[in-house]
Amino acid sequence: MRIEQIDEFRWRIPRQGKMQVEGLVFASAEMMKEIGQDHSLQQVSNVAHLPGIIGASMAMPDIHWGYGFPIGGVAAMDGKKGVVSPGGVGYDIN
Amino acid sequence: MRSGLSRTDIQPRLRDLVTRLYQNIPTGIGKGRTDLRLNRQELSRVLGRGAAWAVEKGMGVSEDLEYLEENGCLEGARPDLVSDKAYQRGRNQLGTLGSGNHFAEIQYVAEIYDPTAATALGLFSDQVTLTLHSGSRGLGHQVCSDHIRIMVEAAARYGIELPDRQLCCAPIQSPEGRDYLGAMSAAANFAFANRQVMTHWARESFMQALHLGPSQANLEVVYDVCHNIAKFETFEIDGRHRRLCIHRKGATRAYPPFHPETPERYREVGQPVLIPGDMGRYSYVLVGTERAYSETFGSTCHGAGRRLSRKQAKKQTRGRSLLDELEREGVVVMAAGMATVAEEMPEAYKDVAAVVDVVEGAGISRKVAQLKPIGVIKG
Repeated sequence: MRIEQIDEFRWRIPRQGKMQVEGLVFASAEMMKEIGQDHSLQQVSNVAHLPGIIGASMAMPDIHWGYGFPIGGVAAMDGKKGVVSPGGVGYDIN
Repeated sequence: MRSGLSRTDIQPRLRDLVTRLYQNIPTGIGKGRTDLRLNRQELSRVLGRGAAWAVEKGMGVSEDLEYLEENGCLEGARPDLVSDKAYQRGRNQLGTLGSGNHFAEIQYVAEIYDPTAATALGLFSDQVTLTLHSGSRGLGHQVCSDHIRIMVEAAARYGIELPDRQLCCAPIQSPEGRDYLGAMSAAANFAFANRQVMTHWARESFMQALHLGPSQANLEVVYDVCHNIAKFETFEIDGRHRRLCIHRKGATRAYPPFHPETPERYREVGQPVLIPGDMGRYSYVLVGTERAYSETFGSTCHGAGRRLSRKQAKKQTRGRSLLDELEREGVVVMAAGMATVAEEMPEAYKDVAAVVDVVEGAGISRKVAQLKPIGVIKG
């Protein structure tokens, strides 16, 4: 997967294939070495495929692998045309 | 929560205080208190009303609700769409902490980074604070399981192409999407009520252990934030107001100063964000920023993130006495199960300071204060 550094704390996963938006990860260079060893960056890119996603598929520096969506993930969906996913919330609701 | 007490006020009675908390707030996977048993009808009211239900029952004051995200109740909750099995699992779990990474922690304000914001949040050096971390327990877990099953099938039926089956979803406006949002919001309301009940019992614990009246302990809610939720929020994008369904999974809302949903008291500094670390080191209080609003739909991080798996953590603690180790560091811990303490030991987590430095460096939150733990109860 291609990952580009935007600034000291921002990393972009450019759109490829059927991604609707790009991925945006907040992390330091040191964290990036560890992040993604558990496929969580792939999950950020997967979430970017969802219909109606707005802006970017985002991940916070505490990101790690979760069911479908990474834990530490943020996804904004269009209120009319978007989708809602239980994996985007997880089991421990609220 | 912030208190009116300093660390030196409670230090001599710290062990009693932790014991009281442990007695008053059920932890672990077991049932809740026998004096809080709900029939289905009452539980349905909890799912509809959220934290306000508890306040109406005398557990808390109406002012508490001002300092809860969404005032402790998601509109659009549909208790009638929560399955019998979920009701069954939630029936005896209101007012319980649970296990895993859930905790109640007594802390003190160890460092202040932004004195103006700290004053607005009512925080001062050496002040005793208390953080509760718990959610919708088995009821919410069941709601998630129920709807994942439905959504796997629904996604296929609506022809939504998914790179991973686990992304199962349905259009927000479809029956399946609306049903999930209704049931999930009901579970979220259970979580708000759950923490409100425990807030009340935490106040009682302080009064009992320290022999104080309510105004002396003066435990006030600083803020209560969700971190596993999907809900409708309105954002201004390119000059247009858009209603979006924001999914935050292990992420926290971080609204900027002057946002209409930021409580009046915090108007000029932004919405408080609580970032728990591990039970040995520290946690943080942050505030949201304008940049978070425009770039991350008003979102920031949630916590430290695990460094070791639960299994690895348990392996590394063999032969060690974690409770003694923590006590030597000045943290009194009481837990229902030692396995949980092992899984949750400080080294099992990444350093939350590094996480917080990234979100501050990126400009999506601002550091206000650091809290250090002195007493912890866990499941």
